[in-house]
Amino acid sequence: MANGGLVQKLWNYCNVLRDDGVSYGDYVEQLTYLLFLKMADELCRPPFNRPVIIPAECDWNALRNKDGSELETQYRKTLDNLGKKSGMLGVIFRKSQNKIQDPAKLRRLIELINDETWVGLDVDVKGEIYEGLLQKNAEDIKSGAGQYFTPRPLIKAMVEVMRPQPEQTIADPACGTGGFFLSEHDYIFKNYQLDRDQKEFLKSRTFKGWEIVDSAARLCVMNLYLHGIENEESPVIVGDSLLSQPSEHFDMVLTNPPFGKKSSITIMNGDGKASKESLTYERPDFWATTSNKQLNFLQHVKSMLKIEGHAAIVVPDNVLFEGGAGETIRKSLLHECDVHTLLRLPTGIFYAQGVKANVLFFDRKAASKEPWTKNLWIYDLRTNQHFTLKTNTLQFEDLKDFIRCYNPENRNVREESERFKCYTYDDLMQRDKVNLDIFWLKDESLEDSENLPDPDVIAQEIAENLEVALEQFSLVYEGLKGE
Amino acid sequence: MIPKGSIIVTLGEIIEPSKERTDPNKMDYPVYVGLEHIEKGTGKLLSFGDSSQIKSTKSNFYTGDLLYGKLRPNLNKVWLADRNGICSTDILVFPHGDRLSNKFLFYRLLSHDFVKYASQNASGVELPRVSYKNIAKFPIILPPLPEQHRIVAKIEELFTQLDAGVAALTTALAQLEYYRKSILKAAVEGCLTEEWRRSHGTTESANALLNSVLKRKYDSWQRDQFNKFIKKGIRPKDERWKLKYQSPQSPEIVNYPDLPKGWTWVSWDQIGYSQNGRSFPSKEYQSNGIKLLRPGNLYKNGSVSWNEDNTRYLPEIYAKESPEYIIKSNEIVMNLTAQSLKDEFLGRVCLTSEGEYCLLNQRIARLTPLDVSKRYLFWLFKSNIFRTFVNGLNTGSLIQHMFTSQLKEFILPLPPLAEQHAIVNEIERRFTIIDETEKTIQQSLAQAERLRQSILKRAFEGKLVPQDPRDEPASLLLERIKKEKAAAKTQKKTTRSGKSKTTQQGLI
Repeated sequence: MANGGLVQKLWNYCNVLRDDGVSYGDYVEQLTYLLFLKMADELCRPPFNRPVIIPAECDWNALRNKDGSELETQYRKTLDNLGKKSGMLGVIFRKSQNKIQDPAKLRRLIELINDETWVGLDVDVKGEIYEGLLQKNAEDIKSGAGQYFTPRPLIKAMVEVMRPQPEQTIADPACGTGGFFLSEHDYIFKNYQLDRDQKEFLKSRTFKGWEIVDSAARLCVMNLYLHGIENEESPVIVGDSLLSQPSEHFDMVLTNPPFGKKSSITIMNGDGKASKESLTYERPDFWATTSNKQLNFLQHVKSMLKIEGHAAIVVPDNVLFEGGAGETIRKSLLHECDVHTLLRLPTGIFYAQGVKANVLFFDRKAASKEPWTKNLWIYDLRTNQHFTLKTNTLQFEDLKDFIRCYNPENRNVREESERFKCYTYDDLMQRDKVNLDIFWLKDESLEDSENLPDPDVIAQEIAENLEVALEQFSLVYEGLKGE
Repeated sequence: MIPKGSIIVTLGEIIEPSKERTDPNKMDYPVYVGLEHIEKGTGKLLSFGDSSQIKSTKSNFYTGDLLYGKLRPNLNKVWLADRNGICSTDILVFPHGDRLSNKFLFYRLLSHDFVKYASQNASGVELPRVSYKNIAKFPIILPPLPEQHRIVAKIEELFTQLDAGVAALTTALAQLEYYRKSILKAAVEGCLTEEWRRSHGTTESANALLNSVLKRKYDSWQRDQFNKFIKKGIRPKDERWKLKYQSPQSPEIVNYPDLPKGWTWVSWDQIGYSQNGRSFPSKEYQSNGIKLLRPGNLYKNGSVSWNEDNTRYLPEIYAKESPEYIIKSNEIVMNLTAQSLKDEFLGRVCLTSEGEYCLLNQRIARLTPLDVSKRYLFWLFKSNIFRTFVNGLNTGSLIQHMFTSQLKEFILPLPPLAEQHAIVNEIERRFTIIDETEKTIQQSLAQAERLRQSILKRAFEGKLVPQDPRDEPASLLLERIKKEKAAAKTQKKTTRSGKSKTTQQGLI
């Protein structure tokens, strides 16, 4: 298949450049710039004949006939110029730099891209190539890029149970590389017969995202663009979404905020600190002031929902058990929203070390004296589940039982099972500090059973626990240092 | 140096215990709390008692009240009530109010300096008690009320993180034990030396080893028999006495898992000797002489341990009389009697260290292998294969015995000699790493406890959270408290009504 060949070519070239010291992250970035220029070029020709958005002195044509130092100069000029533009163009090219030192190799890459027609290429193919590179990039642990990448099977499962509909607005205040948007887009496209207006809405008015790091925002916009999602303004805003109260409200929010106290500012963007993030946000719409980033995102997500809006947010265990502000926030959340489902995620699926995570599902409700949460259903996909990032990765199949138990068609009709239990509001409020870190299954690695797990399985568990311990003690250290 | 807005007060100026007593016959509270229900030093409640069992007079408490056990103050029993109930009169009940944060006081009483003070000021030898009068003199830094709340929130944030870290460490510690077991299992199944087998090709197979061992046993038996004849002055006429040799039973290998290439299943009888210890008279025990190896000296970690409490000595003459019962360096010894199957005490093996010199007591056996790595066997006896064998020996009886005759029939996997050494190396390499990890974790756990106290110390010095100049100063708070106290004294004493749990949220 011709498309298969293209994917292979780009992969191979990636490896060639890798030997030259160009990391996956750098490669994806350069590919982004060149691909965008090429596609913009195709779009302003027949049969598309779209208005030209790129000035002639920085367009594809100006680039592809040059080589040597002339090429280098032209490329640099192009990136510089376009980085100053507004809208999507600006987001893609802001602070962009050439990372391919050898102009001959740059030329080769340009030729590779030039030989293909991209706009006509099946969206899935483009997406696959790009997503594939993003995934590879995320796997490069040292780069830290993994924190922008939520495992795709998890995203798919979350979207399956949330069931976005046409003409709904969907947001992600920490959109990373846009994985949620793409999955939501796919879901709506595949499950509905969309008329022209709905298609237009899906393309340009459904999605809104925030991303604090330039390079991730860049990839997100490009990722969306390759999938046909675009908007002259740019669906992604580069900045800290926690800074201020939301001015817009959305039907749905699905998100995986970054773990840890600060973003790792050293990924891809060789720039050093792109922005100074504050840790504590004084916001009138927040229930409590805290430096815990994930607790803040939780408050923010609730705030950006419309009344009756739905949210699904990936949170680390700390959000469920931390005292102080955490307790206040949990109490308020249970009261003001219908917190109906909690999915305890297995370890070994994220690129972050020492994190045990969950997905919390809730609906925002109107003000009321009585608490809105009646029952919290908890699914334990963590106990006795062992996944790794390389050899035993999380698959969509592993989440099918959760989806079945969730019963998206009617979540008021659910049944308990070995891994799925129901807790009432009273059950929860009686727990010390309203701790939602609840489990009931026995851990096999701690049982005196005949079925002793393999050494490497236990070793992995021990390492994970040590990482969790390390993470917690670091938080205490930070908490003491800060004041 | 106290922070702005705070003042120094004595506890007596701000809290007073409730005098509300109750007649248990009229009780309709289901909950009774005694000192035995409160965990020492953590502020946690372990369980409740049933108040219908209580006959004598008790104290009432309500949700939000602070309970402090004055008996044995060194145990530091403190609890913040989350429901109404009655409690022992050895517990002081400090009622909740909206002038002070009882949670703040709760953490204050859990702090080391208060515990020390209370313990030093307790009176009574058998039943040391600290009085309210004495507690009342304890000075503290009292911050403004909003700051008290902020301090509590910060403490709870840090403590929950600390608890999570401790829980993870404790779990990891428990998992290390299973990791050891898992490694041993993999070792005796040949999984640890898969790579080694690939790179070392064929070595002398275990079967060949077995045959040479069996031959040695036979030769050894012959020599012994011959020596016996000589002693008795008999000279055998032919070789027929040799037929009396009972060769060790070949094990019946039915339904045993496959072994890696070059390995073979053998019985203990085929490759080694067991020797029972002797019963030495305990009335001869003295304070020096030759050590006597008893079950209490066999530690779980596989080493023999001698200390003041567990060592008994016998006069040197016993060593001279029974030289065959002397145990020296690098010998495998096994415990043959235990009260139960717990702790893997029955059949527990140890390897004696360099320079060991002691007598072998009854109930312990010395195991001597022929041409098989002692260390390999040591680890084998610590693995699940042997454990399963031991657990299956005797059922039902109260005291567990193991006999060397039973041991003969233990079937074990025997690798080629070179591979035995490789296995031992692999196990010991990994175990030293595990031991190090274990030490580190234990150290971290100890440090975590000190961290807890350190956080409290910081908190009550006023250095944990920033001061807010908008907070009403504590001096004004104190004035109000004093006014209320004075007013309450002139009023008639009335019983406080019980408050429901939900109001607890507003007050804390």
